[in-house]
Amino acid sequence: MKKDDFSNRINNGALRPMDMKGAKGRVTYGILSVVMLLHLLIVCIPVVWMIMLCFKEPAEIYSKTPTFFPKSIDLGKIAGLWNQLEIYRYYLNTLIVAVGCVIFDVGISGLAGYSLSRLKPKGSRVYFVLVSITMLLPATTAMVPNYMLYKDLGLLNSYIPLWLIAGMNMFHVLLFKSSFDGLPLSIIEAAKIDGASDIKIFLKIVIPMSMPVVVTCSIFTFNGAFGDFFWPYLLITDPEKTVMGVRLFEIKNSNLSMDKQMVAALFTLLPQAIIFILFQKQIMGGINIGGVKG
Amino acid sequence: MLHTSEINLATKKKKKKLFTRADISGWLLIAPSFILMCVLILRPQIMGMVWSTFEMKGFQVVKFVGLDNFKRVLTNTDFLQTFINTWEYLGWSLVIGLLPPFIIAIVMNEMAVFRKTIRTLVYFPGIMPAVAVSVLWAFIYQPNVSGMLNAILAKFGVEPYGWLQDGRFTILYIIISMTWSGMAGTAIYYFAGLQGVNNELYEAAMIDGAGFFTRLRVVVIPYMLPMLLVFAARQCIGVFQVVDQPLQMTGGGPNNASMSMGLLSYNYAFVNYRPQLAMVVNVITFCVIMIFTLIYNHVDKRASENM
Repeated sequence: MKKDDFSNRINNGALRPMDMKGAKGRVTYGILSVVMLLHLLIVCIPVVWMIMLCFKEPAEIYSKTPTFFPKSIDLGKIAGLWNQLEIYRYYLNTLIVAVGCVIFDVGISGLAGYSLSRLKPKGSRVYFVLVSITMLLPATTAMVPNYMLYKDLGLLNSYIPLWLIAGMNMFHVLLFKSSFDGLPLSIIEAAKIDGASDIKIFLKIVIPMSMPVVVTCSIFTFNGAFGDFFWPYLLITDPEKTVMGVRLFEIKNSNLSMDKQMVAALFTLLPQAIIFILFQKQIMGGINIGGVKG
Repeated sequence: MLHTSEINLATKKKKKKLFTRADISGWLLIAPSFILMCVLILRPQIMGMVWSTFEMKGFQVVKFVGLDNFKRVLTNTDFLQTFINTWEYLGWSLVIGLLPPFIIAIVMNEMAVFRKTIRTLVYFPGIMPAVAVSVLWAFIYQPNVSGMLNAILAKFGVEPYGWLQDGRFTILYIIISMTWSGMAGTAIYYFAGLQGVNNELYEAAMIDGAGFFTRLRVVVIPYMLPMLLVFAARQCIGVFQVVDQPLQMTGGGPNNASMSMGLLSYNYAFVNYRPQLAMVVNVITFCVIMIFTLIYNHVDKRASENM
């Protein structure tokens, strides 16, 4: 009886419940399960190993016969490294960068998407075409001229360029546009008749009704900013202002022992992991609506 | 009377003003995005090309020198090696990175139990920032016995191996680490795409006597092919610009074995302080990528027509 139930559940893909009546189908399912399991091991083992390393003493890591499990699991050690490596300071810096990036992204891309979708000013097609073109341009070519611009404007060691870069996410403009396209027109018309301004309509009606796309874009932008490396590495040379991703790179290139490096790496991905767990639905939903990683 | 005067006023307005008030407020909302796009995306593409023909002192433009910078870059002995390396990155990424996410997505889709848990675990490496992945894989590839792969090899009595220090395969190993985290997102996209396949098609193929793999061939592959091609093109464009991973994992070493065009340009600009040469490298990269982009555009158009 139980077996029947199980074979009925195999109806998601090319294998059908009928297949499970025959040996061939069962063997196929078995092989697929093994492939899945192997893949999950490849995904999980490095991460678990990394967590194990965090608890090990350098002597344990660099011994001739390293073991998988640490001798002791001491959370106090991690807390100690939080202070010793001054992670809190880099967290604060990175948080300022990431929150700013979200505000710039949602503000700039959201408004532009709204205008493209609802106001459609004369000539906005030009902008729309440019958006589509710029999405195809490689980013590397822009590296040096943009660096020179930031340098000339005196924006080195400032977070402003990082925020501006987050604000020119053309993909998010299109994402916002298509989300606003789906909003019921009647509500906006009603508000307009009541004399609400465009900005007021945007803030009071459009944004609350578009929360899914706002949340999705915010999450992708926040996560991207929190682990960002390249531009912060180029622009922020003041150690007081360094962000987490760059700090981790410095730690990797320093002579700190492997356990400390791993704790730093763990702290770098912790915020993303927490956000992923909390907002899994939105992130997976974002993949479905976007079809492209923001 | 009032009616006609209103119409007159409206037509007058239309003739007089190119933009109405509504147009202006619409453009005001677009303005920040438009300005950023012009200043940070379009301008640098053009200036990068222009300045690649100028002599520079530090980051100051000095004078026009024509193609001298190109001559200097192309005659540098490192350039050819780097150019070939970049194609090697691309080649390995197509060999290693193209099919595994698709296969994993198909396998995920067949699973009857723990589907949500599997999806979460498969996606997990995708949320790791590139730096954290580099640190993790630097440990995995550690050349001595404390590294993960060598520790596993040691269990089978195999001597420790140099991994990233073996110049013949450094690029392959970097691509493996990139695939480990990069395929997570791609697999989830494919998985989401597979949800769109109508189950009745499998049943129909089954009635025709098609086995599991034949069903995949006749139902899944045709359905997913456009998406696969788009991701392949996008992967080519991305990998050809690779900078972060070689910079973080090997610094381009050993002996320039993992130097990429992106990293070479980075080194020219920010290590040697000769940005004009960096821009030359970028112009060359740009040309190659534009070819990819044209192909991508073609494929994407065909894909969206089919979908």
